[in-house]
Amino acid sequence: MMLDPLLAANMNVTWWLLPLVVTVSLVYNATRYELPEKILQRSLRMGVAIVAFMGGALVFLFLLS
Amino acid sequence: MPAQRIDLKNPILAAALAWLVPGLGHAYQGRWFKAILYSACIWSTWFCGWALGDGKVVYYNRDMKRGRWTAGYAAQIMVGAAALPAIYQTGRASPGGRPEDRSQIELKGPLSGTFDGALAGVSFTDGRKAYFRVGGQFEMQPSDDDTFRRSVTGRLTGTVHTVDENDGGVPDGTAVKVSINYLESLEPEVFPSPHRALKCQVKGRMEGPKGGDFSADLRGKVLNVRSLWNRYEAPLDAEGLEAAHGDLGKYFEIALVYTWIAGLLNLLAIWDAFEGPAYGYGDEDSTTGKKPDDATGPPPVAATPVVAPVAGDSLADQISATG
Repeated sequence: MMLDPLLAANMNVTWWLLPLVVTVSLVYNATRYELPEKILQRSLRMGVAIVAFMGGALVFLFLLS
Repeated sequence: MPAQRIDLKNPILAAALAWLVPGLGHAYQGRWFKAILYSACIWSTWFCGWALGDGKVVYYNRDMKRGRWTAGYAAQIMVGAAALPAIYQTGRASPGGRPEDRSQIELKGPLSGTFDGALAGVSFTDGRKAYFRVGGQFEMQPSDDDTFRRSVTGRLTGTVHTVDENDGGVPDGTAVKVSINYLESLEPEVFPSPHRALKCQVKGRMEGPKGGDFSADLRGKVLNVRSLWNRYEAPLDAEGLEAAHGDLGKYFEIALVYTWIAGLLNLLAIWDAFEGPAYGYGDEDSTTGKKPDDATGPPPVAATPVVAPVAGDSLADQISATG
């Protein structure tokens, strides 16, 4: 079982960050709280914060380059 | 910690189950939302990494030089049962505790199937040199001749395909028959790939007016001959690791990171099964009016009666009024 090499070659590796952001946010916040609504709400906030931070870093590095 | 509000049952058993199968510990405690959430997140990350790495990123290698665990496997084993077979597979792949040298691997039984590879350094008897891709039916078996440990007999019947000008005038699709002269190296039997690679020296004959007798090096893979049992979480040797990096490029590293993160996330889940959620149940705001669950904000402050400011009142007056 292997990812289609053509598909993989055409994907920017940065996109592989997004599934990790989702799972890390969900699992991390699930270990902090018990209520599903609270977990989802906090996960959304954390996910957005991570993406915003990474996006900011990307823009900064892009401008720097 | 709201342990009183959550029945953790036997926390040690729950933690053990959470380690063994992500989500199982929470299912045992009846925390179904978390069981599903952990299970979905951790398993999907794990299998995404496993598939992205072509099944080659999860393995336990007793470090080839120092006989230690590799750090990556220490993270992967946190997903429990899914990573445990790697230890057994390493024992099968390297009985002496060290990966086998491919050049010393003995063929233990017949090997046959579809072959895909190349005829390199083709040298015809009339002096022509050439290089071809080659495909066809391959078979090889141990020889009765025990003069050499790697004595084998075998043959390949197929067609050659030209890849560039270096074809010696042989047209594309010419039929070829080769017999194995000497087996140079053979991929281990326990290895994380369905195909089995080999290199051997051969002698053969190509059909047609531009054909003829030749000697060459045959390199390639016999396709889909390795069982799932012989490849699941089997360790990579140095050559295999190099080839995996070459085949998968940066995705090999991404796949490794995915499996590591899956393991590390399960470590958090194991602790949650043992101790309960770290900051609170999650509804403390509505029940108590306090904010014990807000780890990022300031610490909770005692409630203070609010006094409406009156024009002309000084700050000292307000403080004395509230005190």
